[in-house]
Amino acid sequence: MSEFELDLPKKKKRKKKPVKKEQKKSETNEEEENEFKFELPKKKKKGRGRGRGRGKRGRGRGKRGRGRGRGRGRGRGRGRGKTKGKEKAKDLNSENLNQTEEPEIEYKVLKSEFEQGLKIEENPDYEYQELLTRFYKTLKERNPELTGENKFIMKHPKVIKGGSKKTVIANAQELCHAMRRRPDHVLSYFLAELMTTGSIDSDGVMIIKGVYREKHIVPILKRYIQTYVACQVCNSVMTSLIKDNRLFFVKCEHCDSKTTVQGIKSGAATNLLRRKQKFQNKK
Amino acid sequence: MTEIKNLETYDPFEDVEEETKTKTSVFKPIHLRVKTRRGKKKITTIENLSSEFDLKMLIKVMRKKFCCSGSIVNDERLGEVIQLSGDQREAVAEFLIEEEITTKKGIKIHGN
Repeated sequence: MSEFELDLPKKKKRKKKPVKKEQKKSETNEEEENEFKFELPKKKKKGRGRGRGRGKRGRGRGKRGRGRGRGRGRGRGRGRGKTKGKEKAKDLNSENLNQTEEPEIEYKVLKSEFEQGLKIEENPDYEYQELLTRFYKTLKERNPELTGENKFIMKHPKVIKGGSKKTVIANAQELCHAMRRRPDHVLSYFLAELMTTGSIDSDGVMIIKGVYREKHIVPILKRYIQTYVACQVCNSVMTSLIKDNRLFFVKCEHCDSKTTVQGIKSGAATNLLRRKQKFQNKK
Repeated sequence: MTEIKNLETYDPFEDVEEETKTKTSVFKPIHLRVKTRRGKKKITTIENLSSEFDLKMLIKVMRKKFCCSGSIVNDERLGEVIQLSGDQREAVAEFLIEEEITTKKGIKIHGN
């Protein structure tokens, strides 16, 4: 029986890690013996942010505190942080750089730089909460569109008594301009809902027959916005009315959708006709 | 060949046609509006009640319940319309839902 020997390469990978650790421990002893002592500053364990006036979780991080969401926080980096620091110290002191260690060194350098970026100074001029509030204040003043709150704030309609039996809406033109609708359309909706007559003046003022107050007119305005102005898909207010093939469409500029909308139909004419018929029949 | 059963055509929608017909009919909601007459007095109008119901009986019951006067008016466009004196939109809405004439979605209230 012939014996054949196989020369297989040894699996060095598994042995690397324990070897390194041993080397590290040995090297640290050597360093301590030497005069050069390159020590990184110790990372103090900070309290839960209360000492610095930050939020509960410290460092202004999210719910998960120690940066667990990012995966690079202290919770995970403890074991490696110590070794990295020591390896750095070793490499700087000892000039023996093996080729096997080079790629790992680069990887560690990148990580530590990233971690340094996350560090916050010990005595900052401005605190995190102050800067946040300042940011949102200026945003609201200058660019209210970008705050993320899609609230459509409209002015209240000014309802004034125009003599007995008539009401006047002074704001009418501003409101129609803000809603991007023609005042004719808005008027016809009001008149259909209230079953009265009315008109528009040259100044853009609406006159309605009957005594109404602001509390009567505001819900009608809200209903108008829900049906004819607001987009049913994305709830935005940047829309326009289009007529197409005898149908009314509400086209949204935000999401480019078209929805059909019924026309305004007024109710039945009432009492007067009946009275006339009665008198005519009696005669 | 109707004698041979295998060659007969099978209409899976035979039973379903009757249901779809009623659904495809146009959905007309009932409109309740209010009009002011003189000073504080008001009138409510009910439109689009389907002609299946006996309108006269309906008016009789409503008049007794709400303690008001009522009548039917023939309109050109809208057909027959019920008029009741006073502002009784909410009362009428409750009444219609209780009697199962319509659902909540089938009623539209206009006005204040």
